[in-house]
Parts: sequence; C-alpha cells; structure tokens
Amino acid sequence: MSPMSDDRVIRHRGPDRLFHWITAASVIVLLATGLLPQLGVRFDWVTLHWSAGLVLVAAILYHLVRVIVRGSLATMRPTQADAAQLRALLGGRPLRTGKYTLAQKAMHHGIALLCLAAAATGLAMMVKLDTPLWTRNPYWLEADTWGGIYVVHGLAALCMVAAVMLHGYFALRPEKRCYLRAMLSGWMSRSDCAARHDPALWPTTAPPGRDPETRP
Amino acid sequence: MELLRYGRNAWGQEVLEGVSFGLFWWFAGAALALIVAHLVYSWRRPPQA
Repeated sequence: MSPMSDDRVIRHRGPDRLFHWITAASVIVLLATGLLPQLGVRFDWVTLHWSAGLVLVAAILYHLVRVIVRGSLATMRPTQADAAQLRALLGGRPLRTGKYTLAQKAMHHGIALLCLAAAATGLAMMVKLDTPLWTRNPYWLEADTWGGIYVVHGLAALCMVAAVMLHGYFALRPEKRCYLRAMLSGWMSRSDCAARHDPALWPTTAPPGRDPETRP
Repeated sequence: MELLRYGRNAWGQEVLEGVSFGLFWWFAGAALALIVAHLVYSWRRPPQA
C-alpha cells in the first residue's frame, strides 16, 4: 500500500486485481460447466470444466506464492481489532477497521476454503480423465473413497453458488461500491478510506520506497 | 429430498456418486433469502451518523 495521490490511496495492486478477476472468471465457468448439465442443459462440458479448474489451481498457487513472498499474509489474519469490530457491530455502532473488514475476511476465508476443497478434489478426479498429459486410471482409489471425493467436490460447488451470490450482492451495495471500484481500478478515495479504515491498523502512507503492507 | 446420490457398479453393488444436485435450489434459495433479509434490514435500519 502506498499513496497514489493526495485524494486517492491504492487498495489493490494490478497483479492482485488480475488474480481476483481470473479467479472469478474461472469459478463462474466451473460452476456453469459443472452444474448446468446437472440441471438439464446439455453440452460438451468436461474439457471446459477441467481446463477452467487448472486455471483456478494456477491462480491459487500464484496468489499463495505472492502473499508469502510479499509477507502480506497478516492482513487477512483474525485480530483483536476484528473481535472489537464484531462487538461494535452487535452494538449497532460502526467501527473503523484495518485494511479488510471482518466481513471481508470471512468472505475471503470461506471462498478460499471452498476453492481449496474443490481444487484438491477436482485434481484427484482428473486421474479418471484422459488428458494430453496422462491416460485415465479409474482404479487409483477405492469406490467409497471416490464417493467421498465426489461429495466434497459437489458440496463445495453448491456452497460456492451461495457464496458467489452473496459476494456479488454485497459488492454491488451502495455503501460497498468503493470496494468494487478498488477491485476494478485499484484505488479508493482518501475520504472513503478515512471513513472506514483506521490509519493505525491500515497505514496508507509509508517512508519512501517502503510498502507498509509488506514485512519490514 | 435426498442429500446424496447413489448408483450401482458393474457388480450391482451400491456406490456413492456424490451430493444430490436437487440441493442446488436449497443453496441458491438460502443465499437469496439472506440477500432479501439484508435488503429489508438495510431498508429499515435508521441512517447512521
């Protein structure tokens, strides 16, 4: 995070926005190709599905490497400030937060868990497919184990439908519009930032050459 | 409402095939209910200072 201009601060850098939208596109394609055939829409979905799945896996690996290398994992960690925010929310009074609100962290961790569950089980299921890289091996695991894998994969997909609906709804809410704009353009206005975020918890300025989001 | 799908393998044994996709409408409906509940809550909530 660094100042962009006097009235704007950078919230999401280009690579992070690219990751978000590639992940979003791959999840939409995965849900459409995975669920529409089950709902009676017939098309050749298998290749499209596993191709989008590999895009999602690559995006997840890229994101993991990036946050570890930049040392920015801590911005998503639950903190004492989140507990205070929860108490304030229950009391009906708003409280300024760090870079991510409690709801944003919860949405991130929920979608991350669903993506990881779907990706891990999806990668296992690819063993049963012929691809340009290998031939199928349907006998790799016991039938009961495959059944468990299918259950986790399908349950993750159904939960993801609900998560995508809720994420889209909250992104379009008028009071959250600044976050949608930040995910599109990278910046939010300093006034929006000051109204929602505590500079002690999310420093938006740093010494020259120092990114306050990364480790010292 | 069935939660899981079962089929038969080549030996006629029952095997688990995954979750029932009839649950799709329950998950989508639950999300829609939450959205409507939040809309009503936001509409009725007094404006914050």
